[in-house]
Formats: sequence, C-alpha cells, structure tokens
Amino acid sequence: MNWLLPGFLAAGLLVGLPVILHFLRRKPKAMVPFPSLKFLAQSAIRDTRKHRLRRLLTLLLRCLAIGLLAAAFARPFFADTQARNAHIVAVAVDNSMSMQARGRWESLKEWALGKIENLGPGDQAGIILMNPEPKWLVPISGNVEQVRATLRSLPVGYESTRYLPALRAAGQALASSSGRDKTLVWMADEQQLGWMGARFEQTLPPGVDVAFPSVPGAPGSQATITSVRWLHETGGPSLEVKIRLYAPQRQRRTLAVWAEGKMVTARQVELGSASDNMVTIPLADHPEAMRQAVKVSLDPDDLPADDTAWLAPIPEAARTVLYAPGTADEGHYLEHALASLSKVEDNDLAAKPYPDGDWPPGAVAIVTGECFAPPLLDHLNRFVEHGGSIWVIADGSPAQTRWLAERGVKVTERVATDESAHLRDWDMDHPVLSAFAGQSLLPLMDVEFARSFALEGEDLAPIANWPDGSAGLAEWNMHGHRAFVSGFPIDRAATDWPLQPSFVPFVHQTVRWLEALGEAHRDWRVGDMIPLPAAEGTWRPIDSPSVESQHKVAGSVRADAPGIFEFTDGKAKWIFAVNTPPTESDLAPLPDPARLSALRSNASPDEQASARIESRHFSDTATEDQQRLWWWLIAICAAALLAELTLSNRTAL
Amino acid sequence: MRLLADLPNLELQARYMVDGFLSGMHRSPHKGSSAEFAEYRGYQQGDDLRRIDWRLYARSDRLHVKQYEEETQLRMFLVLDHSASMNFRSPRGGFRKIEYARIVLAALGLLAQRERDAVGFGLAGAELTDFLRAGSSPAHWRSVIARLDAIRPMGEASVAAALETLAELAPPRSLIVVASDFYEELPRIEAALGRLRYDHHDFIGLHVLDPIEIDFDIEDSGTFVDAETDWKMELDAPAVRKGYLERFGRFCSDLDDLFRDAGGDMVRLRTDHPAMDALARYLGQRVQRLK
Repeated sequence: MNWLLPGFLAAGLLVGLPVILHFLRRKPKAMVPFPSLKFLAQSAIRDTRKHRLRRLLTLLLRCLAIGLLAAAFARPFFADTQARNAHIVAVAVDNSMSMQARGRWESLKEWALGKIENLGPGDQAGIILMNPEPKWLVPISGNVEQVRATLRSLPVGYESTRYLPALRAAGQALASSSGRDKTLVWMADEQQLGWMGARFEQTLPPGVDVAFPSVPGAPGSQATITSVRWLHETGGPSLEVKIRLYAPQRQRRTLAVWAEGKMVTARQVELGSASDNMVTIPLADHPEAMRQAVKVSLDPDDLPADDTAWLAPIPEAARTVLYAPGTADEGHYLEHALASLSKVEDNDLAAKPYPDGDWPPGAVAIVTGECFAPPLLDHLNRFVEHGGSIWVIADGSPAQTRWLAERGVKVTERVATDESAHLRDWDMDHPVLSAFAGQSLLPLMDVEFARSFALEGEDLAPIANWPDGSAGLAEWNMHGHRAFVSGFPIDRAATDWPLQPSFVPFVHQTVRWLEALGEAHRDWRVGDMIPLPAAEGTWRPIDSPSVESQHKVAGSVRADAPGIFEFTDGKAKWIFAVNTPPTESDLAPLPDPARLSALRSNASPDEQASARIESRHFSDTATEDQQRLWWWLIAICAAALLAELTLSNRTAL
Repeated sequence: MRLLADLPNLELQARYMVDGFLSGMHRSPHKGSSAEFAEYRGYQQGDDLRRIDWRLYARSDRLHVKQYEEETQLRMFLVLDHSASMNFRSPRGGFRKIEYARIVLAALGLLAQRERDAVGFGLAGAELTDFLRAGSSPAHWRSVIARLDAIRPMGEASVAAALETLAELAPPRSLIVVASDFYEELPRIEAALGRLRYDHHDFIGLHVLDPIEIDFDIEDSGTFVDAETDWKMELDAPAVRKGYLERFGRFCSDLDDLFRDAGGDMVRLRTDHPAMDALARYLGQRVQRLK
C-alpha cells in the first residue's frame, strides 16, 4: 500500500482522542454504596458485560472512522513496484511516404524491433504514429508482444512528414510514466523537410533518452510527378506533366500515360535537376482519354510511390454554365453576356439552359427567381447537395429569401431613395474582379442601382458594399463549397449595369471563377479532406496502391493514399484523383545529424533524479486517480459512523 | 426541605413540619375537650397563658401549667425500620432515609398529640426491639421523640416480624404507622399485615426512598455494595438502569397492592420532597375512625 499524501496519516494519531476520552469519562468508581441490590439480579451483570462490549465496539468504530478518514485523505493506492523498475520504450514511427524509399522501411523496422527485443516481463512499450498528427497506435503498456506484432505488420503510409508534434507527445508520455529507464525509439529517416522549423535547443524532458537510427543517405535516383493537367489547345487535348528531379545529374526517364488500365502512350523524357521539368504529351489521337481516369507514370526509381500521378476524368457537364433563358430582362442580359463567352479566346465555357432533369454536378448554375419553385427547386437542391457551384441573383422573392435564410444568408431589401445607390468598398484582390485589376474603378463605381438588397450572413465574405456598409456582392462559403451572391436583380428597372461596359467582363470572370473552383477541387493530395454530399455513400478505391477497401462515408473523407477513388450515393457517382504530397518527395536528409543528439536532455544528474521523482509522483497520482481507494475508505468510514451512532445510542440507555 | 434539615433537633423539626402542614389547612384541628388532671409542669415559652394555674402561682410564686390525662380518641403506634439500608443518602437526597422517617414519625406524633390522640412507638430490628405504650401527654410525646432520636441504623431488620409482635402488644383498633423501605420478602409482610388486620388494627405504610432508588440516575460504574448484606456486584449503572427500574417498579406496585388488599394505606415518600402527604393520610384515617 502506498500513499500519495502520507502527511495526512499523522491525523491518524487522533484515534488517541476517543481512547483518552473513553477512559477518562468512564473511570469506574471503586465502591458505589446502594441500599439494596435485590433489584439488580444476575441479568444486571449480563447487561453490564453486554454494555461494556458495546462501548468497546463503539470506541473501536470511532477509532476506525478516524483512521479511515485519515487514510482517505492520505490518498492510498497500490503501486506497481515492478512498473517502477520497468524499462519503458515508446517507438515513434515515421509513416510518411519518404519511408517507402527503397529498403528504408524494412531496415528501420528491424532496427526498432531490435530496440524492443530485450524488453522483459514488467517492461512497457507503445507505438506512436507521427503523421498526419501524433496518434498512439498502441498506448504504453506491459503488452510488449502486441507492440512487436503491431510493428511487424505495420504498413508504410503516404503522409507528409511532421516530426516535432510526435517528438513532444512521446516525450511527455514517457516523462509522465513510472519507470527506471525511458527510451524513445525514433524510427524515422530524418527527412530535412520534417525537421523544418525545429528548435533543437528545446530538449526532451529530463530522464527521457532517445535512440536515433543512422541517417540514410540521399537516394541516387529520385524524381516525382508534381502535377498533371489537361490542356485544351486548338490542336486537340494534351497533358501537361510537371516532373521534379532530385539528383545532381540530368536523367533520361520513360513517361507513360495509361487510360482505363491500358497504356495510351509512352515517351522518353530528359529531366534536368533541381527544377520542374514541364512535359506536354499531345493526346489528340485519344480525345476519349479526357473522359477517362488517367494515370501517368515514370519508370520506378528509389522512391516508386511518387512516380505515379492520377487524373480524374473531366465530367461531361464540366465547363458548362446553366442559366434560365426567358423573356425577362434578367435572362436576356445574362444570356447575351454568357453567349459572348464563345467569342473570348482560350475559353471553353459553354452556356446552356437548365436541362429538364438533374443538373450535372460539374456545371456552374446561375440561379434566379424561377429556380426556387418546383420543379427547378428540386434540381437546385440536389445540385447544391452534390457540391455544384452556384451564383444566386437576389430578387427579393419570398421563396428565394426563405431558401437563403435556411442556409444562413439573410436578404433584406434596402429602402429606396430618390438617388440611386452605388456599390463601394470593392475587394479588388478577389478573382471575380481580376478583369479590372490595375485599372480605374470608375466603371464599377458608376453603376447605379435603383433596387438593391442587403446581404448578411456569417458565411459571407463581402466583395463590394452598399453605402450603408451592408454587403452587395459576396462570396458565400456554403459548407465547403463556394458560391456567389449578388444583392440586386439584373434588369433595367433595378440597375443600369447590364448596359455598362463592365457588365460582360464581370459576368465572364464570375462564372470562370466558379468553374475554376470546381476544377481546383479535382486536384486532391494525400491528407486533404475531400468534401462529399451530406448523404451517406460508398467510398472505394478504383486504382490505388492502397490496400484500403471500400467503406461508408458521409460529408467528407480524408485522403490517406494516392489513386483514383469513387464515391457513390446510389444515384450518382463522383471520381476523385488523389496524388502524393509533392513536398514529401524530397528525400534530402537532415544535413547535420549530430544536431539530433541535442534533443537529449542535458539536465544534471540531480535534475534528472528530481525529474524521476516528479514523474513518479505524476504516475502515482494517475494510479491513485485510477484506483480511487479513498472513495471506498470514505464509504466504509460513513458505515462505521452509522454503526457507531446506532451503538452509542443504545449504550446511552 | 433545606430549612427543615437545618433545624437543630427532632422536636423542632417535627413542630416545623406540623405547623407548616396545619397553616396550609387553615383550620384548627382541636375538637372538644375533656380533661382529667394529670400533673403540673413548669411554664415554658409558648404555652397557652390560659393554662397557667394562677392559684399555684399565688402560693408558690412560680408559673406552672396544668397537664391533663385527656380522654384518648385514637391510639397510634409509630414503627421505624432501623435496618442498615435506611442509613442511605445519595447526593440528591435531602436526608438519610432514617432521618427523614424519624422527622415524619415525630411530626405525626406531634399532630396526634395535639389532637389528643395517644402515641406509642415500636422499633423494627430483627424483631420488635423496642416498644413504648401509647400515651397522649406532651411528656409522652417527648419520650417518643427521645427514642426516635436515639436510634442508629444497623444490620438487617424484619419489619414483618416487628409488626407481628406489635399486633399482640398494641390495644385493638390501633393505628399502626410503619416507616420503612420494606426491603424484605413480600409474603412475610403480607402475613404481618394480615395479622394486624385480624386484630382490627388500621395501618399506614410510609415507604421511605431515596430519589436515586426511584430514578436510578447513576452515571457511575463500579462495585455496588448492598448496605444490609454487604453483597458486592461489579456493575455498569447505565447498562442496568432499565432492568432495575422494571424490577423496582414491579416491587413498589406489589407493595401497594399488598397494603391496599389488606385494607391499609401506603404512602411513598422521597427524601427530597416534603412529607405532607403522610400527615394528610393520618388525618384522613382519623376522620374515618371517628365517624
């Protein structure tokens, strides 16, 4: 039995108090003369004996209650003495993609297993994964065999390296555990990027030793595909591939393009070192490849994991702007502005009226008043749910106002005055205004608005404001999807903007920005949180080195491995391409590995001993908190007091 | 009670008690008069001036009062238990039990003497150890007082035996007043009371008790010693209190029944309370007798 606050045991001496009082108060007289003992028969002697026993029992209960109370305050616990003398090892595993470099994972795993091989009974071990954030795969415990088995079967990952959070978490865990020797086994390749921003003077807690493996050298051959994208050129589609070579000399490599599991083309590329090598692969002969998932790969080098990149198929509806054609001014002006897109060079956006059925998720939709009534409202809701990009043109209709209010956007019609309003506070850095960047703002500020709506909402970021400070144009962050809201109807009664020269460029930039957002979201990297429809669906790999099987997800999913993945909610399906994080491909090790030794505590032996005592106290506190014996002592004490109360009442007769 | 205890002798204590009792009644107890001259005695302060023999004064130049052998209406015998248990006094008790009993009996004697009744005396030891015939003169009362005063409690006593003897010695139809704690076998007392009844005596029992015998509020523990038998018992007072009170209560109740069944009267007296009750009972008996 151990005590967390043994000082309170001194209070146990108070048991002397009832003992003293008992003997002082109940000192029997030698002789008590009495006229006649005829009424005090043998039963009186029996009663006396019984009474004495009760009083003794009462005294014992009082002493017990005081003793238990003192013991409870002293916070007792059963310390694991074996654990105090244990050797505790925490294995910090770098599960980043760089560990997939040829031979690294296996050799470092063997090295780490060797460090825990000699742990015996009573010793403790645990495994902490470094990436993407520190996570105890096996918490520190006496089950060393489980640690060995887990480490042996642990697969390497595709994450980016972040060393410091894991170093601190493992150090703290070891410092707070109770053991004689505490060692952090650092199973990592000491990638230079992983130590970026590290302050080596911030050492591990005293008493915690760290074992570093020998730092592997830079690989002889290492290149990575940093990005792949489609180019829409007049001669037909082509792929733009960026490749970075991490080698001092130029290298000749083979680049192959695969579509639907078949190689479409392959070519030799000459790669220069220390810069991005841009390679354009014309695929005019294979226009169907744009509608398919494409894989681009280099011949394998020392880190094969980043030699492949994937590209999701471009949806049929991509680069389409949906709008409501009609006789109204609104449709008329917009229709003309959108139609002029085809006259702009290097543009492949096409404006189309809303289809009869569901709106294709890859499109951009300009939603006006009629979209908020059935049947278009159903299509709009499904479109938004599936992550479609929208431009809402506020017109003050009750249905639209209600629809926006349900999503956190309040639309209030501004009071009309004799003078027309003008928008001000323009955010010229916003992409929708890129056509006006570096030019005079007068074409925008001169626009007059006779009817306008104030936009309010926590998820709105104003792009231009009305004179009273309320938002007139705003970017809307709709649950991870971007949208755009304009606080005025586009008709002649409301504004003269459609007649101004700035109107068409503004419409073009806005729909291109919304379309580009969708495009940008098609380039996912390992570690990204991919937004998905709120309804539950199935996420499954189509082409991926990952062993991950399909599983149910809703709302979002974290990309843990590269490849082509499919999400389906039963009605529609989406294809996502996930690629490796480009920074992780730089395998350059820490230039001065000797700096790692600075992470060991430089505390004096006295400080280390003090830290050991402190950690033991911390551990004792945790053990005591877990066992909570004091609670039981208080409960027994209460029971003893209850019994004492009952007995003392009877002895007082 | 405190003032009573402070009075210097038994006679004064008896007078104090009787005067206090009578002043409470607001009427004179003297009824009728018939006298046969008995003797002269010297005048004492407090004597009625009307009773001074002026002729004798003229002859002798000394004041004398006449004493008469009055015609006795009632004979009363005062019996006192002088066992060792009567020598008990607790811190709460105003008197030893025997002192209290002595005062009460002396007061009864005085009251009787003022009522022109004859008063006799008997002492209950192992048997009737002392006996004085009944007389009604003040001098006789004084001799009763003197005998009461001289008693020292000792040993065991048998009130029953004393009463049986007294039943033979006392003239028939006497009133026997016995002061005792009655710590003896109840069947024997029952037999003695039967004998008194047989001889047409009336009797009043004065059960004299110390408050501690009634309440048993003793906090101390230790060796309890029986005053009469010297029997010792190691006891814890709070532990045995309940049993004692049960048994003692039953004893008192049985004793009351015994006197009532035998046609007598029983008065329970606490040594920390005034004994007016006893005097009232005497007067009650007297009225009954003279009807």
